[in-house]
Amino acid sequence: MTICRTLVRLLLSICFYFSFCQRHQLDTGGSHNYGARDFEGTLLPGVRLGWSGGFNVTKSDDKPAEPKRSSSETSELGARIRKAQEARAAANGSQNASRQGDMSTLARGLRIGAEFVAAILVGSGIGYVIDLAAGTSPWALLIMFMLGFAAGILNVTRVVAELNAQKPASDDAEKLD
Amino acid sequence: MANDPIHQFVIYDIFTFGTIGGDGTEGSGITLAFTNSALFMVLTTLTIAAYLILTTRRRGLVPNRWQLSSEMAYEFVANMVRSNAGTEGMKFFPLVFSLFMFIFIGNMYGMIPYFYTFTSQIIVTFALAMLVMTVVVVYGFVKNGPKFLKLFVPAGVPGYIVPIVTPIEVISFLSRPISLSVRLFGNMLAGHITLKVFTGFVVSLASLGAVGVVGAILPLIMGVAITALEFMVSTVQAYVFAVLTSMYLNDAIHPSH
Repeated sequence: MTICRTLVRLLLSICFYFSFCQRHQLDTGGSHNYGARDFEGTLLPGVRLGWSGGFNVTKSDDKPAEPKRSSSETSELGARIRKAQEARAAANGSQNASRQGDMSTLARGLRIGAEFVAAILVGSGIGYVIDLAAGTSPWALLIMFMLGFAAGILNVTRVVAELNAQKPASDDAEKLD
Repeated sequence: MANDPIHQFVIYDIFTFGTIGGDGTEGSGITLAFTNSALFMVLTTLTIAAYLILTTRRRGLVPNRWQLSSEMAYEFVANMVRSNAGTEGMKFFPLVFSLFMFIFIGNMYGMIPYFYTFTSQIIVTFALAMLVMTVVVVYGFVKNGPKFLKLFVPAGVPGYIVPIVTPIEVISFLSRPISLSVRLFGNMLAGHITLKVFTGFVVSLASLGAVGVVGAILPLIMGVAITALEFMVSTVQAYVFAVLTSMYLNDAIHPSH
């Protein structure tokens, strides 16, 4: 019972610790770091899609109604619109990438912490159950604790590799949009 | 009550459906009760359903603002599923969207004073995580058969290392529901306790007289800041849960690393 309570307390304090250090980092990270805008940032592709869709619709609707313009005039206008859209997409893309990165600083730290602790808990839990079943206390617990530790390290390296791989990938994706 | 930061997590029965089993004495058997936590889960589900039904009732080619907002929610989750689990993962879009909206709206309800935050209960988040893992395991075996077990044997590993790596991979896989649920639960619980502790300082300091009232300004500022932060944590955690769900579903669809 007391072990249980100590474990829960330890877990809670780890949660607190991670959330606080991440929060601290977030506050000092710069003016564009705030959460509400981050969320808005990730929603922006949707907004942009909706907007450009609407734009195309009105454009095709307008065409037959308007008096015929000379083709050079419309193509020039088309080129200008395309240029403006590209510039906007590029600006949005770079903003999105940085915002997405900032948004995950908090999530990243918490994720890594939870991943590590969870693997150790699961490993030790399996070891404890094996000990109970086979009466080999404490050897299975010790071995599975070590394996859990290894799994925790594996989890952390995997998450970090994933997050590192995500950043340039998301940049490219934004540019392709 | 005002100064007890844990009191907000107390669960009480609103009404009971009756008791199953037991010998009739107090505390025996399983009592099915509709608690305040269940009330807010029902409220959340009703809110999401009403929002989506009302905003898509009059569908236009050029959407109005309400329709646009639900289209944005759709696009947001759909892009997330597509980028993490591929277009094949879109068959799980209803699951991911439901999870995202449920956690998101539930967290947002938790930010309203006197409302219960059901995501701060580990049993709720663990049930959600186990739902995801059950879908992953069942679908993985149904779709890939025994090939799904390749997930635990990384490609290109020499034969003599496999017995060491496989248990580690299995533990790593089993730790997923724990980390998924503990992250959400820990964030919401810790955030709400912090909020309550800081705003509790305001009350206790202000009762000390003029000096205390001046001193109470500091925790009040902190309280406002943490409230804003909690809104962000609420959205980020719903987002993280949905992203990880789609990543785990990706493992079920494409089991080789």
